[in-house]
Amino acid sequence: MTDEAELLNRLKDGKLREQAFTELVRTHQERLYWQIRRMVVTHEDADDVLQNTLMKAWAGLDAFRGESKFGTWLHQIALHEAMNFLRKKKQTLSIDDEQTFVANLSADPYFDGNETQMQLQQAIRTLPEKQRAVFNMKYFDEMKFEEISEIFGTSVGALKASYHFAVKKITAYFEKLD
Amino acid sequence: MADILEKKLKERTGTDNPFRVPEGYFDTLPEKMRLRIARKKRERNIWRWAVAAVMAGCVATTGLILVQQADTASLASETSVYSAEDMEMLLDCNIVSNLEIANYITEAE
Repeated sequence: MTDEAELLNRLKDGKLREQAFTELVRTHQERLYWQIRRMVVTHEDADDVLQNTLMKAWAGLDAFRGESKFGTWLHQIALHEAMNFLRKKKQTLSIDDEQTFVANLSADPYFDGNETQMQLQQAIRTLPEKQRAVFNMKYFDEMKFEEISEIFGTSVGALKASYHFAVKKITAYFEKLD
Repeated sequence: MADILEKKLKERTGTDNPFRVPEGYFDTLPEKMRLRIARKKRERNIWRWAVAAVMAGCVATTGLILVQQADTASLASETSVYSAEDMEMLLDCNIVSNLEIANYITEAE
């Protein structure tokens, strides 16, 4: 029996479920965190979204059939939560939110980027949520398009096109600054 | 073309992670989640008990009302045949119960 199948059995067992879930959290927490963090930017927001993701995964364990890998399933929930969070946040943003974003990020003790990295974050922020996620996964995490396709349920071709447009937009953003 | 753009962008910005995470965050997260799940289970159990108690109360109250209505209906059907003269006679004979007396008085009023 594979590790994944063994874990699934323990997650379905009422007595072993909590311990198995804790192992699941330990295995996947960092990767999930960074996927979320790159979307929402601040640690506090990433922590909130990650915890919500894990609570939703706990609540949905009975519905998980093992058709995809656990990691893929968790990433799907994380992405959904992060995009929902960003949509809700967009509804409460002020007009000069670009300036607010720069000021907040500069003051953020958990952001160590230089000026160019700050500009990159501003550029990424102009991308639609899904395109932002694809860009982050490919550019920073160097994930294969096939892996990203499993998470999004979108074709590799569509993802390549999305990434290409994202790169073009960000390049154009930097050209405007020059 | 896409690869060239990507390469130029990476040369300019790099791909280093500019974000940091608080010390010990990943060490404590599994335990934090375990406690949160335990709290959620407790809250769900309290809610289930509360719902069960309310349901039991409703069933008991409904049952009591139905029994009282049945008693009243039964009593009414038993005494409805007595006229005033009959009641006088029955009272004299100590045949009628206190409940029947009360019901008669109530109807007379």
